[in-house]
Amino acid sequence: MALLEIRRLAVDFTGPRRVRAVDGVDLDIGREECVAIVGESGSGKSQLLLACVGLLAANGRAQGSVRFEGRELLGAGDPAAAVRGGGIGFVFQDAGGSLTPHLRIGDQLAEAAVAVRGASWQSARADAVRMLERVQLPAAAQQCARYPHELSGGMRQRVAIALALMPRPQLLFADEPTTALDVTVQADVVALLAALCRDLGMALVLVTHDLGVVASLAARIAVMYAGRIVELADAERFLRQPRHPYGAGLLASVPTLAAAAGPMATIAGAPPAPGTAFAGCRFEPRCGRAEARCRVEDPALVAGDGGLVACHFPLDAGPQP
Amino acid sequence: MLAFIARRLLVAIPTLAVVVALSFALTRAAPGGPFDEEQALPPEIRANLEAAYGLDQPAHRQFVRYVAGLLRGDFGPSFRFRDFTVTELIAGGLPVSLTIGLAALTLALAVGIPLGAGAALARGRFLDRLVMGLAVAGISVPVFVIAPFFALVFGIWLRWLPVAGWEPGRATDLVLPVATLALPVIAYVARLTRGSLLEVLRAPWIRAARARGLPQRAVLLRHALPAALLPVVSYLGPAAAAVLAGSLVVETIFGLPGIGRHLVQGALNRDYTLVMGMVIVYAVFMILLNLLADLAYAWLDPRIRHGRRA
Ligand SMILES: Nc1ncnc2c1ncn2[C@@H]1O[C@H](COP(=O)(O)OP(=O)(O)OP(=O)(O)O)[C@@H](O)[C@H]1O
Ligand code: SF4
Ligand SMILES: [Mg+2]
Repeated sequence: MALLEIRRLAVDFTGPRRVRAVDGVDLDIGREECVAIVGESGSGKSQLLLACVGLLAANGRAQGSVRFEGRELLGAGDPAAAVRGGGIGFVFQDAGGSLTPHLRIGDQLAEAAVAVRGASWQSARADAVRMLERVQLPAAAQQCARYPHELSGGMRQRVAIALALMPRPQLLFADEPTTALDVTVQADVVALLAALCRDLGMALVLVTHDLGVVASLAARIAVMYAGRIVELADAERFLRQPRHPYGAGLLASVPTLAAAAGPMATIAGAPPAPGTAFAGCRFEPRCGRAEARCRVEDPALVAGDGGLVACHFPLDAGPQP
Repeated sequence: MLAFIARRLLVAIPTLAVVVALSFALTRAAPGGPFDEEQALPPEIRANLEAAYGLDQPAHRQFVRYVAGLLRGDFGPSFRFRDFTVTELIAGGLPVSLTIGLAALTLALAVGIPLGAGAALARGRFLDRLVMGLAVAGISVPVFVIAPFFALVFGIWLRWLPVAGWEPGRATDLVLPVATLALPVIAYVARLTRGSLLEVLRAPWIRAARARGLPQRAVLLRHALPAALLPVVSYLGPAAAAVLAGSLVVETIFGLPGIGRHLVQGALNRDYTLVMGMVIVYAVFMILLNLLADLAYAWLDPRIRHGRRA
């Protein structure tokens, strides 16, 4: 049994118009596994993760099933509350904004350990300093007495990671943990996450725009497009030869990895507007390989060549190593 | 922190000076004088009286004399209550006024904040609508309507509480005046708390606190409420002003021997020294309460605390 099992997960938002942000996602996360999720802005990456831990916005509703260690997280009465923190930690897209402005860093860190793990305040405070050292915050002990606004953006980011780790989660959701940061420290933070996962025996789901990060960190990669996973593959294989035309496009748009790209140089066009209804393949308007069949038949996510791909005419996987 | 308080008190001195000068000028500018009565006094008696109180002297001499007295802590004699000094009159009424004023403010916070927070948590549901409906009523009905209404209902019909009057130590005398004064402030505090808490609950750091697995209680009380109370604290100054203005009416209607009636009576009688003494006392309280509000604000918000230190 996988640590986290996501089945037919759909997320709908009500409002002036109904928006289906996540549209039938299946994904397993194993213990101590690192999976990357990539995809353009608005493809549903954040809502997928938020739905799992029951933190969708008030107008959002999740359907389907999410099980953590076999325990169902969706349904009435916020069942996900039991696994938030200690089971699944969350580092948000705007991590710097994750700190409570009027509480000292040390108090927030210790509180997370006390409230979730039932640690004593004394041991929790010692833990807080150790955790800050672990995320390589300079002068960790002194930082505990400071307030969030006294730290730089990069420091707040590290504190946000430390905060999510204080309850000792088995699985960490990191939603673009580096986008708000200076390019120079992005690599540091990624390396830090990798080291933390290894040391703490923690599984990681990393949402990122940065395929370079994927290369160094993730075992598997899930490519999302318009609320669906369109390709799920071994990261190494994906980076060498993506099979979904959209995945290939993503890879081609990364300058350093362009050499490994498929036939497309960039992805023309824009992602579908939220709330669009689809008859055939949702990538069809932008796809260079599209044929008549693509307009009428929605491709299912099927297995092949060491991964899953949702495309009628996938790119060739190339020679298997 | 101490430096901040000292600085604020220092700034208060020129403020008070302006208050003294303005109140002096305005009382003298009002038509009539302290010794105009329905039955005109014989001119020689009137001249004697004015000489005795220094009113025959030019205005600037009177002002200098008054300020010199103030610096010695002497508010001067009352022109109307001839056996009393203004200091005695104020000292006599202050405990009553302070008691009902502070009790009303405390009650307003103690009731308004939980009501507003409850309404925010029950957003859109019955409790929310009820509280907000009452709040609109509480804000829009003036004190001079609430006071006689309460006196009528609780004093005359239900006979639960005394209609009016005051005996030292009889707490029931205070219930209606305090409730009357507090009501509009409760309504306003409840509305402020509700709006502000709803906004804070949407903050990313509240979602992050929930994602950390903190219990709902801790998220609400430790993370959300202190931030949500900032606008309420900012409102403390205006709230104190509202209570003060209300106390003038409430003391008159409920027949309380506070200082509020001195201001009203003093103004009607052109009792210059009494009116000025009252204005100064009120000004001092407003300054102190605003200082207190600022300290509370800084205590709740570290960004303010550090901004000031820098
Ligand atoms: N509260 C909401 N109400 C309505 N629609 C929403 C709401 N929150 C998100 N959405 C919609 O859900 C879709 C997916 O959003 P999501 O945040 O998951 O994107 P994302 O893949 O994380 O993008 P990014 O890379 O920009 O973070 C978007 O089209 C967005 O408009
Ligand atoms: S199914 Fe057709 S349109 Fe969709 S990605 Fe594959 S080739 Fe392109
Ligand atoms: Mg996102």
